[in-house]
Amino acid sequence: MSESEGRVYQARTTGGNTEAFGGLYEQYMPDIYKYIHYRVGNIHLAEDLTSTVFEKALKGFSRYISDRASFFTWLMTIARHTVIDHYRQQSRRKDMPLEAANDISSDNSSPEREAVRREELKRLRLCLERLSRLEKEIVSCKFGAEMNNRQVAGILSLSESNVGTILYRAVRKLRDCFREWQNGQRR
Amino acid sequence: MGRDDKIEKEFSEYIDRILAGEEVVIGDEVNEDLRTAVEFARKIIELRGEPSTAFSENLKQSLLQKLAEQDMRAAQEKKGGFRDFIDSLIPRSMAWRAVSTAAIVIIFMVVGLFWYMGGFAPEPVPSPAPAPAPAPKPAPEPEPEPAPEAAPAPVPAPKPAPTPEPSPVPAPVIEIPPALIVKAVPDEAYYMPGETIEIELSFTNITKRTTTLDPFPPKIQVKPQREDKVVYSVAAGSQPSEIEPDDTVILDFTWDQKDMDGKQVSPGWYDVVLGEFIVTMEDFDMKLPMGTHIEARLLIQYPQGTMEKTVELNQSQERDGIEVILERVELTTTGMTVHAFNTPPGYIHPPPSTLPTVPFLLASAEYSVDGGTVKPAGSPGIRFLEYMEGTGIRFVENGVRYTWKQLDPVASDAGELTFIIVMSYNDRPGELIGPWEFRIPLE
Repeated sequence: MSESEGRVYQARTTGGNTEAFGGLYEQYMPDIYKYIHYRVGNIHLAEDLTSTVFEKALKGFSRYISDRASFFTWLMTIARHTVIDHYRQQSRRKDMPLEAANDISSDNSSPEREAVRREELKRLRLCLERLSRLEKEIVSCKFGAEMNNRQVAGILSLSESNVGTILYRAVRKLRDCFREWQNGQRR
Repeated sequence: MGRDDKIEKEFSEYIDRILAGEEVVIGDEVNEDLRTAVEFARKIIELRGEPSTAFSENLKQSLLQKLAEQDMRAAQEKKGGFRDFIDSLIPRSMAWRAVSTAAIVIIFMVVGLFWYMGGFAPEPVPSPAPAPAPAPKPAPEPEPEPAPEAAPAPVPAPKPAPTPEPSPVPAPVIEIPPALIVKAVPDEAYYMPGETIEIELSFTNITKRTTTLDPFPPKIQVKPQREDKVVYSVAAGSQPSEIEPDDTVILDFTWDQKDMDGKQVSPGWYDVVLGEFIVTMEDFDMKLPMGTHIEARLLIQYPQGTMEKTVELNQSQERDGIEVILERVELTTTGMTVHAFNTPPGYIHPPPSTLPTVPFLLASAEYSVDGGTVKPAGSPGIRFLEYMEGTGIRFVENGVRYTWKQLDPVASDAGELTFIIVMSYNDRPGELIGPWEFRIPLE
């Protein structure tokens, strides 16, 4: 039994819901947030949607069946649906809003470094825009939620090798798009 | 494992190690493309946004507060349950007990009757218009066909391989009453071999109740058109999924066009079929098994191009004293249509929506190109109405016309089509006649 499954078990058997849920939150919130941030590209929106995900998880915690999927997979499923719902409500997808590039926060950076970082992030978002929805989804799962290919394959109903193929293709596309921009800047 | 597969696997392994916090050094001996991709992945990781401490703490506090309230409510409900509620409704006096118990029984009967009459059924929701499929390539969409009005008994195929009934081409929107609308939208009108196929499957809850789909995602299979053979399959998910009223859950399905052995499948039409899943509505003790529908139809084209022409044949063949004429073969980018004709002895054109007064022939066929794989063409059903396009039997002025539509396209460099028909009389479906084997030069 993994640490997270142990916490779920503890909550079920001893009624220690608060402690167990608190532990699970600490463990998984950063990954869920980063996944959502990749998908929506805006800090405030990522925070709102992360809150929604955990509120839904809280509501459905009693219905979560631990022997059918890991708690993280369950949370990721909620997160994916929450992002999809958000775009639907926004009347059709416009992943990675470009104006959101200014919301990057970093610690202890010099103003020059911060400016470069902002520019790079802006470019990365523009490049992400060029990917297909599935490629974006896989990049977000991998680099945001730090999932391995098997986990990504599980939640997206793909084969593991297919995830590897799409991920490699997507990162190469991003790299080429980024290079294009860098070369343009140097000229 | 191919070279590309190895590189892709290596790439994923590098990323997993970097994400795990390992110091990964990539030597110059590593393939340049792979090395630069990994370096760029580092850049992506470096640019990630972390949640702020303030947000993290505030959300945690808010959630724990809600959890505590939730636990408190649950404890109170446990204390004063349904029994207490009923007890509180029934007064202590015997006379009032009798009256109030009768009233509760009547309420239950009215609710039950209302339910029985469909009073709790969801409001009728008009089917949404088919989602527009993106059409980056200029291929025409396959025509949706209405279901045949009357399907004749199937006639077995001429070869030992069983010939299934032709599957009607599905409308792009499939309504599963009363809970769900399932839509499948492929990202292209057709695909070249090797291209990744992406299909967006959406499940919309059209009821006013939270609906659970189990398992989710359901099993997804890809089958060659009109065949039971599964070439690719994705296992069902392990966790049910809830859909709120009027909400939609979207599932992305991708297929790299490879079969279970990792080999590229041959060009032609393929069906995407959902496996069974159970739909349960909140507060409604009813389980609806769904699935096994054809959700999308995919066309993989020939890399060398597709033959586009009409071959006028009027080739006649006689077997068992019966003449069948293969009139015409139409070849387009979306498939092949074959027209055949027969005049039953004593035939008189029947009035609309009626069968001929004399026995007529039902047909089944299969075909192959240049001696390759034999594919079923199916058994056309009877089409009484003239406006009904597609595969079917039509009773015309001087006989019966048979049309097999949306068969697989033919490669531009194909030499010969073999089309084999077997028949049986409509009043003696077990007695096979034929076969009529037509060889059609395509060059």
